[in-house]
Amino acid sequence: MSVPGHSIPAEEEMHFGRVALNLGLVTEEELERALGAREELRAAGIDTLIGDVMLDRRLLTPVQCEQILAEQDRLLREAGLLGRVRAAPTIGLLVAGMVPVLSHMSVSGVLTWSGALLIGFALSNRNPWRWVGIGWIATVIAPGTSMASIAGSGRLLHGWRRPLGAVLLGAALALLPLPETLHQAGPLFLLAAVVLAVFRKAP
Amino acid sequence: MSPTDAVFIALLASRCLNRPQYWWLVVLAPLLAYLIGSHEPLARFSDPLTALAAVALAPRWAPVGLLLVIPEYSSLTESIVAALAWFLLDRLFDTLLARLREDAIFPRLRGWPIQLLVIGVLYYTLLPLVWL
Repeated sequence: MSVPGHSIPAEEEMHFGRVALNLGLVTEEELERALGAREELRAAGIDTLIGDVMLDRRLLTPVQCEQILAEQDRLLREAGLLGRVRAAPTIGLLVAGMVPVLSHMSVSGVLTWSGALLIGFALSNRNPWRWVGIGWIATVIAPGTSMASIAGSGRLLHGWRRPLGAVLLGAALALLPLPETLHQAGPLFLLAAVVLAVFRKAP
Repeated sequence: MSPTDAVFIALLASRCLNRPQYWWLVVLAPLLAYLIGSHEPLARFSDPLTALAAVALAPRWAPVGLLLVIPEYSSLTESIVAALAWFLLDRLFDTLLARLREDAIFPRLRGWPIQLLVIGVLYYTLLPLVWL
């Protein structure tokens, strides 16, 4: 359904579940069940995506998920919203990747942080309490790293690509001999803004 | 991590997450971090307790609270100033973004790049206050 007299679809038509429904990949009842399950998870403090819930419950296959995301991208691009919506996880990756350099972590600290992030994403399921537990274990095994820096950056990431990206970015920023200016948040934000603007797809 | 960097990186992190109903409770995180950290009998457990407290304040906004408790606040005043700075910057940032007209922004800068630029400019605008 589109906004009357306008080619841009209404915002709710761009939601993952609605796109899946419109493509005929799930039924209304299945969508309701998945939304209910996500609400239950959120009430338990687990912030998950509706696509992940549908995959877990085998309502969708990974190929169908990709198909929905491609359609969602097309709708968002039509509405000029793609950059804003899709970039949020990238910003999470950027924030997490800046933590080691801003915390002035040592080499061993960066290794502990990286290991915790890579192991943690498989165990945490985005649950903040679990992330605190993972941070605690990591700092007991290798003292000297802040537990809050592990839990805080880990909870911002999901999937396996973003923790890996954050680890690479974090290690590069913390271990490469960068100018001292880049050990502060302000210059890093400005640099990130320029990089995002340069490398984003032309609107 | 310096309190200034923590405030600004927490400000950016808050933009990646949905704002919970009681988001403003996060403002207490630096104060709790200082109080727990300065309580001698809790020394061994101050890190985990601080992290747990930061998550308990707003579980959905846990990264924001956790980033705010990374610095070691040296005094109660410093923790209060960090908390207030984060709160005021959050409100100021929202106001600034609401006043930015999308069509007046260069297309490549729309969305996250302009938000990062605004935070970067706020950082340099307010940094002299930290030196006072």
